[in-house]
Amino acid sequence: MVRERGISTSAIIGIVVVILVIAIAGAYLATRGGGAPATTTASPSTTTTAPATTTTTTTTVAPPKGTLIVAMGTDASTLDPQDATDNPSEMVNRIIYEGLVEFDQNLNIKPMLAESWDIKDNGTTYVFHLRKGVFFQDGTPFDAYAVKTNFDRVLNSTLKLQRYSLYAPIISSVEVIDNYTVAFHLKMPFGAFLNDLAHGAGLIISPTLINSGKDVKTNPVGTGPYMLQEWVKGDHITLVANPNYWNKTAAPKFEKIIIKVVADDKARENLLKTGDVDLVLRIPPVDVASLNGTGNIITRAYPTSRVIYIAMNLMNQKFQDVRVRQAFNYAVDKEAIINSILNGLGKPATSPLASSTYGYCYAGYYKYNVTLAKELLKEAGWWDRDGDGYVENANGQKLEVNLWTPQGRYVGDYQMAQAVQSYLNAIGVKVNLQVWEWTSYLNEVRKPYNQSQNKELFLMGWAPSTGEGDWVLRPLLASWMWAPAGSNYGYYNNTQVDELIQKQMVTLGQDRLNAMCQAQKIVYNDAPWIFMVEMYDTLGMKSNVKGVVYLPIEIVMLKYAYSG
Amino acid sequence: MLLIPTLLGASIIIFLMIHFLPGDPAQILAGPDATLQDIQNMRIRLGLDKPLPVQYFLFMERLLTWNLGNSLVSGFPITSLIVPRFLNTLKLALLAISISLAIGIVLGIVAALKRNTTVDRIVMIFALLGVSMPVFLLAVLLIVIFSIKLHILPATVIGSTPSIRHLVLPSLTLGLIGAAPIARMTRSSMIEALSQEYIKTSEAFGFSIRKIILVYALRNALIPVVTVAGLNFGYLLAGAVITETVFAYPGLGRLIVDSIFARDYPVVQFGLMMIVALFAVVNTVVDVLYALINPRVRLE
Repeated sequence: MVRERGISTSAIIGIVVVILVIAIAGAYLATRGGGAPATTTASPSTTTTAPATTTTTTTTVAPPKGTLIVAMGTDASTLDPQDATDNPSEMVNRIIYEGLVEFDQNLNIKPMLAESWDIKDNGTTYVFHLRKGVFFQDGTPFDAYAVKTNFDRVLNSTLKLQRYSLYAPIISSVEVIDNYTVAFHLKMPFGAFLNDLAHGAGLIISPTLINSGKDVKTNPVGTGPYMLQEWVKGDHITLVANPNYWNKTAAPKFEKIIIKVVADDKARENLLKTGDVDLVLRIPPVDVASLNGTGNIITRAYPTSRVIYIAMNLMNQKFQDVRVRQAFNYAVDKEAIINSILNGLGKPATSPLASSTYGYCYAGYYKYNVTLAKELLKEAGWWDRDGDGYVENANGQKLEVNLWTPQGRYVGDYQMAQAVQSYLNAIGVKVNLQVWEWTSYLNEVRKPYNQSQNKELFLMGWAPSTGEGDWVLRPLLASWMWAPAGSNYGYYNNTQVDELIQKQMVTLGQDRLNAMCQAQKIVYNDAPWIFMVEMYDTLGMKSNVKGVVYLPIEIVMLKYAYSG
Repeated sequence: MLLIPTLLGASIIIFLMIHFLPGDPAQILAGPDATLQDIQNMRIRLGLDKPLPVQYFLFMERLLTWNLGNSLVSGFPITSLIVPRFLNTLKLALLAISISLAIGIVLGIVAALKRNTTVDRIVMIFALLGVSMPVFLLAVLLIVIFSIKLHILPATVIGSTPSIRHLVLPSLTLGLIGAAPIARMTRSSMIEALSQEYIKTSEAFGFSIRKIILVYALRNALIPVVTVAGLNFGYLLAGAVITETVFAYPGLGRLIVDSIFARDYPVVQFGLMMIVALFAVVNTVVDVLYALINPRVRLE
């Protein structure tokens, strides 16, 4: 350093102190003053601080009190049920809105805004008798016109709502018969119609809101027990008790529900331990047992309708022979994967459908059997001809496959793919494992077959949002649903299965179940996938949180929760 | 000023980078069970069917008129997403850098004065730990101690605006980690400054030891420290994503990372532009500080 001349009197420590004072004062002021968050205020009349107890003290109903704080991994993307395709949105929507019918915890259909219904004209007309005395959160009465306004909206193709494609192929028109009777006329008999109405897209929006032209996705108004107070995008959603909720026996028990977005699994778990939150979605399987009973924390695991599978690109020569595909299934020890990777939270898939999905029937089980797997490969012409540990065909070509997987999309996805890699290695198949970021992955697996030469084995998961088998078999296995048109990413094509899928769509009751069951068995024997596991989902909560209902379609029903 | 070309260049790079990422926002938004038509409709709705240069000029137009439009994914106005997040990040960054400077400079001076003693070694071990410890580890340690065991500080922000209490643990995490390089830098440049001849001269003049250390030596030692702190502050403003994730803190970094995964192009673009602009401003401020600390540095 060069010598310094001209020593000034301003002490350097002064600079340091000034920096500190400015910084701390700045931080303090910023905390106190500016920085009002971006919020969406639902109804201007809702007061934020005054306890919401005064208005609800009717005869016997206990006033709502306290706050339920819930942590989930991803924020809702829209509070417009007819435009929502993701679970976090549906979970919030199911607190604010109600549908004509609702799922119970076994995915049976129960009445909600409709008290009863009649099915007429060979299943092409559904007449719903609506509940009286129900009001939306904005005071609009609920009636047949409200129902018609809702379905006219989702069926309006110019609005380009995401759930247009769920209803448009089925519903031809909605007719108001009288104030409290409404008829749905279908284009064909459709076995899964009530499930489609119990679906998150069937939640009923206030017709006043729809007609106002306001943005539904940020200004939701339903008939549900809680209403939106504030949505700080990416951070939290605050719901407050609806003081005028129609169903006094299921009146809201909490003054507020705050849903906080906490992306990291460990961070969510920590917040439960610190007591900052009451209920946490998706505890990593490895911690479920150890966390249960720590302090006042309990954990729960629930079977879901999600099946994890490893699809094969059936347009690829390597997977033409059904014996090869079956060999791959026999080579993988599903039970070991469940025990070591999922800590026992799962069960082997015995059909393309999970056992909690309506229409499931046991189709078979490729129980782990290396000998059998090797025999099947040998019958198909693949065995280790040169003694290098890998199988070859008559031309000396090795059986080498790409296995693609996302990481973090499904619990244990990457670890499962790793396990499959070593299981296939054990029968002499060389596997190149490749991990993808989810968005790029989706883009890649959705490509048409003539652009998918490198796609060979790829891990996917599917949970039907309608809770029934049509929404597994049709999008995943019908030949007209080949990617990119649908989600049949492995280009499975079986005429018999196509016919059965069409049959189950237009039949009801036992006929429909039989058709679905037959389809499942054929698919299982065709082995277009390595059938992996039925996933479980997990919750962690304080022991005083009661009344949380878990639907196997991976939806947590928070509206019935209470503190006890 | 180099500010304008820097920002222009950054805008082009940022725009191209996000568009060159594989993956299609329309596909994500349309959901897993979308048909091809659903996806195409979504693409038109989002304006992604237009050619890239057109999209770039639209982006610049919106930036220059500060009419940022809405998020592709959530439909929220982008200003309402970015501005509060940015203020949250600013609070955190200011507190963290203050903690870093206070701890780092004091420890650095002490270590330099007690050079090669036990005190010096303890300080340097602390600094080494700080430099090598991953930020998430320190964050989790602090949560375990203060939130889970002692129950005296919250581990996250529940509700609208973070208060000082909510800021303590995340800013301490970032501040302690940031203090380490500052302590090391202060120590070495203090040692160098103290060995200069003018210090001996000052001693000969009979100035007090305190004045010599805090005024003459520290002043010369501060230049590299300010450089390090300025860079660190810039990074903190860009969003301490990992810290924000562990504490579920509503800061800018998390917003941008979430938006990248969702391919929410405009939020990523405007968020990054904001960071670039701030980085440039912080650099300018650091240059001004150089001149304040050492008058021989002249601003052009």
